[in-house]
This record gives sequence, C-alpha cells and structure tokens, in this order.
Amino acid sequence: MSRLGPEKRNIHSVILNKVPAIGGSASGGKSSCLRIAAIASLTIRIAINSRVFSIACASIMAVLIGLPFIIKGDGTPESIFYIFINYSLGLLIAVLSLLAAWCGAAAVSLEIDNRQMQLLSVKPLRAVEIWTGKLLGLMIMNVILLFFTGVLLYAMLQWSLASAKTTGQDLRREIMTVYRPVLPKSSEGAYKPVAIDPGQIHQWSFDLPYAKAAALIKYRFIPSPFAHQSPMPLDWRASTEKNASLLFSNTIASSPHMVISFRLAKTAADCVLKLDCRNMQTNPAVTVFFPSEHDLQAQIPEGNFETNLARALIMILARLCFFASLGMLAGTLFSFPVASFVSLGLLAVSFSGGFVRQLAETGMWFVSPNENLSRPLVFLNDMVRTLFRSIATILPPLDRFDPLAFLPNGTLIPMELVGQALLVLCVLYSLILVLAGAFCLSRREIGLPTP
Amino acid sequence: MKDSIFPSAPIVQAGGLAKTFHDFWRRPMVRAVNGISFEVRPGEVFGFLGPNGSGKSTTLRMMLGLLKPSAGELRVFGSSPHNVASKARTGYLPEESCLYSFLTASETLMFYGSLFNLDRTVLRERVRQLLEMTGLQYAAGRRVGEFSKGMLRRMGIAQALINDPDLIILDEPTSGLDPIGCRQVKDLILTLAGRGKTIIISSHLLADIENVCERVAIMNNGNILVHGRLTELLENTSLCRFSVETESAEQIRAILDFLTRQIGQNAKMDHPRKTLEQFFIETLEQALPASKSPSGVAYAEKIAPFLAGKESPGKDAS
Repeated sequence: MSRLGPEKRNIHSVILNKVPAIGGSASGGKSSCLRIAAIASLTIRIAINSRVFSIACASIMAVLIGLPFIIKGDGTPESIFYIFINYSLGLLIAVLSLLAAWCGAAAVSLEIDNRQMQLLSVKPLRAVEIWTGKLLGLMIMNVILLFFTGVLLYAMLQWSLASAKTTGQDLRREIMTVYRPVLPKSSEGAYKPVAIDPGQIHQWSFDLPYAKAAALIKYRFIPSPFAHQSPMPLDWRASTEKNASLLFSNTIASSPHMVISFRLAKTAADCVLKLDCRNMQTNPAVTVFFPSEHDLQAQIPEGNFETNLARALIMILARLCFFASLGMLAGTLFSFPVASFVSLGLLAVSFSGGFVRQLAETGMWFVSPNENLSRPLVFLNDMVRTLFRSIATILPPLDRFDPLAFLPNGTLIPMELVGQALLVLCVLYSLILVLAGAFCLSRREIGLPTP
Repeated sequence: MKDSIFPSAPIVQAGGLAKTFHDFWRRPMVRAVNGISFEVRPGEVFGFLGPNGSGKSTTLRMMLGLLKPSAGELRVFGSSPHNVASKARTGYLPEESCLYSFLTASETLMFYGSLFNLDRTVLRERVRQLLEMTGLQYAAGRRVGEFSKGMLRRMGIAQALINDPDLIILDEPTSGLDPIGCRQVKDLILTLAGRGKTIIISSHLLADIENVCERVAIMNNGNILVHGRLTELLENTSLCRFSVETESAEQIRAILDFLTRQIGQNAKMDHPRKTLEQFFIETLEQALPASKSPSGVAYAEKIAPFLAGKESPGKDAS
C-alpha cells in the first residue's frame, strides 16, 4: 500500500495547475486534422472488415456485367449505350445511394450500440471531429467505389461496342461524343408551342456559337390526331443566315414520340442557323405538334464521353455525400435497426422531390383545384400543402443534379452544374447535417446501460 | 472532505449528484444515483465499493461525460466532464471490452494514442512498453477479437494508460484477470499512485479495494452509505495485536500468562496466515518459466518505464 511521500506531494501541487498539454493543442487545426484522419482511416477499415466494401464491389460487378446479359437490346450501339448508361448506371446509383445511407447509419449507431463510441467519447475528441472523421472515411470509400464503377463501366461499354456486329467507327464515335444543347431562339421571350398543319412550314432559328464539327438536330413531336402513330414524312431544310446555301435537305419519315436526330454539315463560326420543317403528311391530314422547347434542339459537339462520365461520377459523389450524412444523422439519433429504416425512409423522401413539390403546389392528389370542398377537407388540404411545402423547402434539388438526365442522351454536363452539385450537396447540405449530427452526438448519452 | 489531508483543489468534485434513467416516453424508470456528494483529491486512490446495481459505474460514467447528471453538480479538473482539455488528462478502463475486434493489439494502441497527438516515435515506444507491461508483447500482431477475456482486460488497461493520464478511472479493473494479472494491476495502481496520479476504482471485489485504495465510498441503491479513509474505517480500536517472532512453546506460554495477568482476561494466540492470493502467486512464480503462455500472454513483466516516470518522452507532437 503506497502512502504519501514528499515526491508525491510535489507532483500534486502541479497537477491542477499545469497547462493541459494535449487538450491545449486540441484546438490547433493540424492536430484536429490528424484526429479526423485517424477516425477516417478507422472508418475505412471498419467498412473493409465488415465486408461492406467487398459486397459493394461485388454488387457493382454484378450489375455492370450481369445486367446487359439480362436486358437484351436490339444489338445496335445505341441500345448497348442506353442499357449501360440508363439501366446499369441507374441501378448502380440506386445501390450506391442505399449503401451510402446504410453505411452512414451503421457507422455511428453500431459504434454506439457496441459501446466503442464510449471509448472514443472519453478521448480528447470533439463530437464534430468524430462526425467529420466518419463522414470523410465513408466518402473516401465512396470515391474508391465510384472510381471502380467508372473504370468497369467504361471498359464494359467499350468492349460491348467493339463486339457489336453492326458497329461502324463513325457510329461509335458519334455515340461517344457529347453534345451541348442549343434551344431555338424565341423573339417573344417564352417559348410558344409550335403546331405545323399539313402542307405548312415552320422555321426555327438557333444561335450556334461555334461548330468544330457537324451539329446534330434532335426532335420529337406529338401528332394530332393522337391516334396517328405511323411514321410521317417531314421535310427538313437547314441553312445559315449569312449563307443561304443549304446545310441539309431531306424528307425523313419520323415516328412520333421518338427522338430522331440528323446531322448537319459543318457550319461557320458564330452563325444563326435557320431550320425549316414542312409537314408533308396530307393524307390523312395530321398536324405535327412540338409542345416544349426541349422537343427540338440543335446539339453541338463539345466533348467526349469520358469527360462527361467523370463529371457524372462527381455529381453522383456529391449525392452520396448527402446520403451518407443523412444516414449518419439517423445513426446518431437512433439505434441501428431504427436508424437503418429511418435513413432509407429519408432516402426515399429525398428521391421523391418532384412528388413532394407537386403535393406542395396542389395539395392532396385526389382533390382537383377547382373542386368545391367541405371545410374540413379544405383545412386538411391546406395542412397537407403546408407540410409538403416545408418538406420541399428543406429537400435538396436532387433531380437537378441527376446525371441520368444528361448521360443517356449524350448531353454535356456543364461544369457549373457539377460545381453547384458539390457546393449544394457536399458543402451546404452536408455541413448542415455535420453540425446537426455533431450537436446530437454531443447531447446524446453514450454511456446508457444496454437494455 | 473533512478527512482529506491534501491541500490542493479536488480533481473530482460532486455535490448532490443524481442520475435518473427514463424510458422512451421520458417517464422516470430507475434512480441509479441518488444525490451523492464526494471529492477526489490529487494523488488519491479512491474506491467505489458496492454490490451490483448500486450506481458505481453510473457515477464513473457521469465523471467521464458519458452520462448527464439529472441533478447536482460535477466537476472534473475544475471544469465540466465534457471539457476536451480534461479528457486529454483522463484514462478510462470500461467495465466491458469496447475495442475494435479487427485491429491488432498494437494497432489498437496506436489508434487510441494517435487521438492524443502523440509523436509517432514516442507513441511506438509507449505501445511497445505497454504491451510488455501487460504481457501482450507476444500477441501484438494478433487481432483483439481473438483475445481471451483476461487479455482484453489487459488491452483495456493499456489503452487507458497510453496518454500517461493524470486521472485514471478504472471500472472493475481486475474482472476477468487471473490472480497474477490482478496482482500486476494492483502493483501498477500503486506505482501510478506513487507518481501522484489520481486513480478512481469501482469494484465489488473487496480485496482489490482494500489492497490499493486510500479512501473508499461504499454505495448501495444509488446512495453513499459510508465514505472515508480505509484505515480509519477498518480500524478496531478495542482490540490490540502483538507480533512476536518465536517458535518456542515455553516463551509463548510465558507471554500469554504475562498478558493475562496484566489485562485481567485471557489473551489469545494464533499464527499469522498468508492470503490465498499471496500463496498462489508464490507457487506460480516458482513453477512458471519466464515465457509466454499458450494464449500469448506473458507473466511478470515490469511496469512500463514511461508510467513509472523513468522515461519522459514528450507528450505532445505539437
């Protein structure tokens, strides 16, 4: 049994007065970064050791290799491209989003449930450092998974296009080219729907900033009467304002609702393109209807598929960052099983932003705006609208940052949009969730006895 | 505390400390700690003694900021238990293992050490010393998930000491350890106490507390029944014991006769006995070779030099 000696007394006198060597430096940015890095590296190891990482890799391989064998296209390069980009990548985005939210929930809630968070909480760590470290670890894992996805998707796509029987070099090159859409000019500001009666002609004009290569014109239309679904002859003529020589002139039998494209000859720089369309369908008489400005657009070659894929992956990463943060917040508030359900529910709500916004505008879906309602129903409808309006306010604009709105139709993803996705989802929303999660973690009683 | 002999401010100070656990609907379920007050002064070895469910662990968890007091005041190093600076000077051994099962022993210590911003060289040296001290040097590369309960306990102690803390909180430190391990932990506590470290132990094993603690608080149903210096609490001033080193029956009889005449009542005589723990350790020390056991645990390693104050590597990298 030790008893107090002179040496011990001297030490006592300095214990309370000494400068906290470690706690004092904890405020330093560098040491904080080191602690965050330690937590991040541990989170990656947890993901690897819990086999989440290998399961994710296996899922990616299964989707990218297996799905094209299950979904049979017509064997053309367009269908191969569409299957890989629209179905395979679409499914992978869903799988990775689920995984990000679930991993986020597990990263915090399992550590609390298994009491490992107790040991972390008694170390000189701030809740925000624990949270940031965990999110960083998850994001590094997502970066690796997305890189793997991108490489495998590109390799599989190239291999499939090369082995497609009908593939010509030009067609392959066209598919792998990315275009920037140019919408038709409108002198009155807002676009007015265009209807071309039989035998009539309509002219659109486009400001083409430059044309390094031949531009494409893409269109789709609705026939009137709607029942007419057989191909219709449309006579297209393209010329420039300065030079009236025709760039294109042809009659194309076009099916309604389908996206049709034709290639223009190379134009001069900064020209105004005039595009005439004559409706040749006179017997039976069918009117051609272009209701939206997006139904007819010129597309200028602006890059390659690889660049666009990289941009799409960055946008997906920004979405995964948001989902991981969302899962982590659920994991901070609830135990693991509850957190898993809640995070997946939040994921579903985030995905259904369009539906939420519609309900926020119209109220209950079974009530038409002009209907005379009883007072309780009006009250209920207003409540629903208020509720969904508030949800719509806080929901991130995920549909705006959807890479599948660009990739399958070969439209260039603007770099500004990629930047906005990073700024809104990775910085703004994730920062809010990090702060909220860190606050909840610091308020939560980690040491509660296990039931 | 009125019985405190330490002049400096308390390391831990609790006044009217209470903790009530609530159910999901915030209805009070259990009052685990019921308005207790105590102080732990620098350099003390303070023991919380009590049966299971008496509120010992809850009190410790409140000191560590893992639980929030429902009422009362609690200060550690003069500030809130949530203060990061005070956490940097605290080491904690939880009641049950909370380590990451996929990390090896040395990786575990490296990870927890890295949270204290220790210089890598210093950290590696501390890890080596701690593994040696806890007898786990042969299991340094093994995953913690493969460890026995005793080995996990040793790992827990090692991680609690990686930052050479000023306040060490040990919840059931000898639980799951063999007698030699228990003895080593007690020796370690005494060594650390000798260096002026403040140690708070919670245990229901009376021998653990008796061997190392200077002051104790006996808890039951969330209340402190008795607290004070152990020597004073256990002393029976109405009885006296004399020790004489002799084997002569005649001498013993003469002494007894003398005592009986002096005090007017019969004096008793018995032979002092070793404790079973002492006997067991002596027997094993004679029998065991100085090598590792089949599980990878080695016996009778020295206290880590940095904990014994023989080596003073810089604590902070910055």
